[in-house]
Amino acid sequence: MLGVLILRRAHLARQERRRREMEDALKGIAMELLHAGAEPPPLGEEERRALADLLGRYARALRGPTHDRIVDYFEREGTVARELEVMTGARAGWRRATAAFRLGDIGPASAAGGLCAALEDPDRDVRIAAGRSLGRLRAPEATASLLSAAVDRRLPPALVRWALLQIGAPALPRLLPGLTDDNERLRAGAVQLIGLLGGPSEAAQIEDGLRDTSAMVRAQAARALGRIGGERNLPALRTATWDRIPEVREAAAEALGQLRDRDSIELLAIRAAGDQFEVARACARAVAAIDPEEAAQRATATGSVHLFEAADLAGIL
Amino acid sequence: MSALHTALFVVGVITITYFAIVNGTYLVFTVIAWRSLSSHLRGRTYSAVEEAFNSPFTPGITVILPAFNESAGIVESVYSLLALRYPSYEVIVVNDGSTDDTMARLTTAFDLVPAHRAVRSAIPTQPIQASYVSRRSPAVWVLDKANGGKADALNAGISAASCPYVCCVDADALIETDALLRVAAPILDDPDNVVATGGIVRIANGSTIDHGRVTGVRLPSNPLAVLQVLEYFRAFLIGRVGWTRLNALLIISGAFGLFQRQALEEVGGYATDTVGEDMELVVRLHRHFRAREIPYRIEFVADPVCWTEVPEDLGSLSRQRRRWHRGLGQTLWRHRDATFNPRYGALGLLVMPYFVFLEFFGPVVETVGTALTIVAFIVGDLSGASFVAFLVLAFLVAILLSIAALALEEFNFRRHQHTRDIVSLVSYTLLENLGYRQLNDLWRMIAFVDLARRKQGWGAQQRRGIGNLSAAEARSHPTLTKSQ
Repeated sequence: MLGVLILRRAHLARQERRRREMEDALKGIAMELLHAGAEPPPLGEEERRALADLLGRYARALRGPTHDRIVDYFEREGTVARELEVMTGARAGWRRATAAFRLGDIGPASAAGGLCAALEDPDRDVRIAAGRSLGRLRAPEATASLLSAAVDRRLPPALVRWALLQIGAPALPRLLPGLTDDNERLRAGAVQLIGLLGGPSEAAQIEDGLRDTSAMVRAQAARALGRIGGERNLPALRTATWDRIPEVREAAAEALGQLRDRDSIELLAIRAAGDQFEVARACARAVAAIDPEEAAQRATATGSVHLFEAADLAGIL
Repeated sequence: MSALHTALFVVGVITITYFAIVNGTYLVFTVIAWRSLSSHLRGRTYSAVEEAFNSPFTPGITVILPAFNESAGIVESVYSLLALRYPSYEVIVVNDGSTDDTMARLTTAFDLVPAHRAVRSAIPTQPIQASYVSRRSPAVWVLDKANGGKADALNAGISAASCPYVCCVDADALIETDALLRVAAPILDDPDNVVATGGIVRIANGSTIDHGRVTGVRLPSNPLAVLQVLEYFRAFLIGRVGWTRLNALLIISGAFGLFQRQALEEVGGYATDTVGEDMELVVRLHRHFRAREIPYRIEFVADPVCWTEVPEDLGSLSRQRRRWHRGLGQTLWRHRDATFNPRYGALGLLVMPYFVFLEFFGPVVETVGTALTIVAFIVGDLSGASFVAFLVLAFLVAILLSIAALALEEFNFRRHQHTRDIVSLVSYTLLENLGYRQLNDLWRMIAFVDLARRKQGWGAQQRRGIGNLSAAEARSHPTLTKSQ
């Protein structure tokens, strides 16, 4: 057993050394391709794979024309077609996942359809790799597939939200129908993302979410309005501080703080002194965000530890 | 058949059954661990950990560091926490009535100033006398409270936490930079179901540490510490991976565990009247969710690393092992109604009985079994060939399990860069069965006496300050007994 462990170590060390040497030798070719679009010389199979790995890693950090050159190279080389074929046809899940992952690094727009289909793959690793790759591709057409994958729990919600954030504003038109979907998770997800990707023009639709039957949606709507809302949304947010669900009250308080609504200081200070712990803390922090001195004065007047904490923090920050 | 022969026969059957079940379980777990770890590490390649790091949706974590007379290493520990890669977290150090200059060191190092901190009242704790925030790093808070023990300090931190998840770490532990992100990965993947996760604890003795980070992994020069390296491999890479697959993980190490704060509040936080508060909490979490038929998962994650120092002298090691076994006994006794209780599913019918009969009473069976096997051989009830065959088989299986754990480490993580460390570890797999294992059984048997005497408290501990482990001038810092 000891012999196996030592031999394996030696083998891995040799493999790693060879990989490093090969990559060092190929760096010049990769740079020529990236900066001047120079076609790489004919390479052996092992070298071609090493160059693909190298370019794939560079592609993660690149955008614009330089990235386009990498995509063109991979398209010409047939790598994109090969990876798509592996992703859909390989028997081993890890091979499909690796292909899905590589397609994200390479970033060809033509892979979006195949990657959307891979979100239905029975292997979780493949779905996760495909979700990540769709985010890297910034493919707006993947918006609906990603959202439904999160709702069906085929993908971790955190990954889907990240991917949709990468897609950015182009995802908005495809997110808006989600606001009226029957599934509350999907509505909440759409509200949350529109709050991050949208602007004041979407605020009115988000405000409708404050009257949703689902507390999850109402809380997300309040948070979203904290980011994209304005003066006209303040009355609805103030009303939301009376919601029967603490999480909604907490989110509404945070939003009022973000929107610096001086008119709600009185309301928030009362809540900071008497509401449930998390709500009181959010209200106190909102008061301090609007007016730190007011928070300190109200803390002394009411003796609210939440207001004292918020005022102290505001003083330090 | 005389009474002696009957007794020898009965003990023989019990010993062989025990031997078969324990080793059988571990062999099955080894197979599970091979599959599980390789699949986990392959999945990690495709996982979106980096993306989670860049996401504004990643939930916040409050890291709680209880400290009692941790002057030697507290500043390094907090620095190591400030270096963590995680998008949103705060650090709460709970100074549990230290009598040394822990508080003064923290104040100087982090420029602490008094600040109010709201604390929930759901979990009762000893009074918090003052709270401070760092002007240098406003994410660092210090609660200065009356001494109440580690569990009480953790409860105070939980009550003051502002994030939905809390990560409890030991003050003498160093958490690797990516560890928080990795230990949180199951929660990011399945926030609705995962309520707790724990990472692997590795031994820092002998390694090079620079500014709160382990920069060179080496084996300790102390043989006792090397033996513990093997033990930790077995416990974490085989045991915990195996139990996790059955959703029956009973221990998340007190040195590094992540919990959903709301779940902790619902079960009442850590128990303050046991020395095995980490295990007791996890058992209570299992019972809480199973009794209410709420879907949940408690997971061990093998790649986030927490480094800790282990005892290098027999006295300290003996006290630690006795305390661990006492904690196990207290937990099993407190939850005795869950054992063989079908209401708790696999926990009641499989895991609790395993821990009662094979973990808790294991040392008794092993010691008495070994002694009576020798007696049986002497009185002629056991032939020489059978006696030798049994001893050789027991020895070989024990070595096999240790080597399997070492191979799991080597194939999946390869943290020890020097080949001679591996050679050394393989040789220690032979040595650990010649004295060390028996000594461990003896210490665990003494724990039965401690339990009978209702002994409480942690016993005296040596603290060198883990951040200073490699420094030649590392000094010994005895601490007081942590009793309540």
